[in-house]
Amino acid sequence: MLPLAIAAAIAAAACAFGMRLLRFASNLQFASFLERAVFGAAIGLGAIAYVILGLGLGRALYPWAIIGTIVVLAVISWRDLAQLLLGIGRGLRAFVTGRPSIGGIGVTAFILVTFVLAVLGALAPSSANDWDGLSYHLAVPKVYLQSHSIHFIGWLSHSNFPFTMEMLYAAGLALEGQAAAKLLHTLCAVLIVLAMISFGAAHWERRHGALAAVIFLAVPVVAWEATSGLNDLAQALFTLLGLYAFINWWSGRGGGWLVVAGALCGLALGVKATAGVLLGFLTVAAFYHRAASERAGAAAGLRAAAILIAVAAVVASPWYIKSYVWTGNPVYPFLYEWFGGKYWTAEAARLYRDEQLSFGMGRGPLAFILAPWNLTMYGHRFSNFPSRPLMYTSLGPLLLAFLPGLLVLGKLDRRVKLLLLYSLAAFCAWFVLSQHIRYAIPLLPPLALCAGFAGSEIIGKGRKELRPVAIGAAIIVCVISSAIFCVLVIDAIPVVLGAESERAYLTRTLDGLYTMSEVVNALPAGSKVIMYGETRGFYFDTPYMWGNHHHNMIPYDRLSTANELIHAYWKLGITHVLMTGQFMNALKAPSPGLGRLLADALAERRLVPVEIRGDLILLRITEPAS
Amino acid sequence: MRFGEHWLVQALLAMWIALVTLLHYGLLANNLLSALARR
Repeated sequence: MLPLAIAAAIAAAACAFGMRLLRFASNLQFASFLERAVFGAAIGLGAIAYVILGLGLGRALYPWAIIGTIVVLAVISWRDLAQLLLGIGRGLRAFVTGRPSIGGIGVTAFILVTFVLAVLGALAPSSANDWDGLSYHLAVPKVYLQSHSIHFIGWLSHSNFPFTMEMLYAAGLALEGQAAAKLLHTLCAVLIVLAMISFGAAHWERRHGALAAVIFLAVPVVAWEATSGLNDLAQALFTLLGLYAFINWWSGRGGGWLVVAGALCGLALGVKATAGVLLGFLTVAAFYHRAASERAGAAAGLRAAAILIAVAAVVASPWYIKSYVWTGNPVYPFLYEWFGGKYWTAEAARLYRDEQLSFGMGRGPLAFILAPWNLTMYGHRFSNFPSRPLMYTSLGPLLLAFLPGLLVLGKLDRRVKLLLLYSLAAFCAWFVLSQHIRYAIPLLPPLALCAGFAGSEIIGKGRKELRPVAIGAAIIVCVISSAIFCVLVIDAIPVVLGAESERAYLTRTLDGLYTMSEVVNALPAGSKVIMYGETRGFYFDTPYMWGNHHHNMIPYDRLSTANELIHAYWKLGITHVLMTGQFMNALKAPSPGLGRLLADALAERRLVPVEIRGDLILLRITEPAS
Repeated sequence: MRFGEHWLVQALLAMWIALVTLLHYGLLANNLLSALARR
C-alpha cells in the first residue's frame, strides 16, 4: 500500500499545484471540474519534475528535499487541494448514484479491470519485459540519487535525453522505490483516459470520449506500458493535452488556452525531442487559424505562433541547454553530423541510427501506405524482437476497424480533422525516424479520439445490421485485451501479494541478472564494473558503466594491446568486467578493435573469471603491468 | 440520402470491422501457436 499512497500523494500535490498555476492564467474557461483537474495534474507533474531537476543540479537530491517539495506545493495549494478532494468525492457520488446505461457499465468495468491489472503490474519489480526501464529510465534516476546530484554521465548517452518523466521516477525512487515510481507512469495512462472522457464531453458527447478511452486502453502495448518504467505514456499525455488545449483556444474558450497549449508542447518536448512535430504542427495551425479568421491577418497569425513557440521553448529549454552545456549538442546523441557531441563518434551515431531504422516492415512508399495494416496485423515486426510473436507489441484492431467509419459520416467535425491531420504528421515522422511500435504510442490518443468519434456515431446512428457488428467488435476486443493483459500480469501477482519474495521472483524472471547483481553488490568497496552485451544496471548498487557502443570514454580503436586496455580500465577505476556469454562467444571469432583486445586480455589472463550467473560472466581485472 | 446512410456502404463497413477484428486475432493466435510449436 505504501507505493500507492506515495504515488497518490505526489499526484494530489501535483494536481492541486497545477490547478493553482492555471488560476494565474487569464482568460481560461473550463468546461468541467474534470477538465480543470486533468490539466492541473499534467502541469503540476511537469512543475514537480522541474523542481527535482533544480534540486539535482543544485546537488540537493535528497529524499527530505523531495518530501519538502511535495509538502510545500500541497500547502501553498491547500485551497485547490480541498477543491480537488471535494470534487473527487462529488464525482464518485454522482457516479454511484447515477443510472448508467449497459454500455456505460461495460466501459467502466473494462477501464477499472485494466487499471487494476496495470497497478498490479507496476507494483511488481521490473523484470525482463522492462529492458529500457532497467537500463536507463529507472537506472539513471537511481544513479543521480546515489550521488544526490544530477551530473553528466559520459558512459550513458541516454542520460542526456530530456528527462521530465525520469525526474518523477527519481521522486518515486527516493520516497519508496521502483513501484511508486512506475505508478506515476500508470498515472499518466489514467490521466489520458480522463482527458479523453473530458474532451468528449467538452467538444462532442461523453460517449465519444468514453469509447475513445476504451479503444486506447484496449491497445495491448499501451496497457503493458502502464506497468513499466518507460516514458511513452508521459509524452502521450502531454501531447494529447497540448492538442486539447489548442482546440479549446481554437473553439473560442479563451486566449489563455494558447499559453497552456504552449506549456504542454514544452512538457512533451521535455519527454522526447520528437514532440517537435507537435510544436511545429500547432504553430502552423495557430498561424493559419488566426491569419484566416481575423482582420489583422498575418500579423495576428504570427503573434499566435510566436506565443506558442515562446512558451514551449521556455518550458522545454532546460533539458536542451543542459545537454548543450554538457555535450555540445542540444539533442545529444542525435544529429551528430550537425552538432557533434562529447564521447560520441560518427561510428556510434551510425550504429545507433542503424538500430533505430531496423524496426518495421520497410521504408518505401508502399510500406508507408500499408503501415497501418501491417502495424495492426503484424505488430511484433515493429519491435526489438520481430521473431517473437509478443502479444503485447500489438495495436489491437479497433483503430483500423473504426477509423474508416469517418469516411461515411458525411461532413467531418473540424476537431476530428485537426486531430487526424496531427496524427498524419506524427505518423510520417514515426515512419521516417524509427518504426518501433512503442514510439507510436504518443499518436494513439488523438487517433483513438477520432476512432472513438467514428465508432460512437456508428453505434449511435448506424443501421440495425451495422450496430451489432460494431458493438460486438468492441466487446470482443475488450474481452481479449483484458485476457492478454491478465496473462502478462499474472506472473507478477504472487510477488505483489507477498506470496513470493522479490528475490525469488527476480531470480526466476531475470535470467541470472538479479543474482549477478547480488554478486556485484557484494564486491569490496571501491569496485567498479564495466558491462558488455548487457545494459540493465538498475539492480546494481556498486558503481558500473556501459562498455560499448554508447560512448567512447575508452578509445578502443587507439589501443593496441591488452595491457593498454587494462591501463584504460584502471584509469577509470574499473576493477571488474561483466559480459554476457553471447558477447564472450563472439570474441572467439577473429574480431577487430574491442573484440581482439578483450580476447587478448582473456588469453593473457589479465581478465580472470570470478563468477557465472545464468548467461553472465564476471571477470576480475588484474593489476596492469607498468 | 447521404452516402454513408446507404445500406451497401453500411454493409461494407460492417464487413470491414468484422474482417479486421477477426483477422487480427486469427493472426495473433496463429503466431502464438507457431511459437509454441517451435519450443
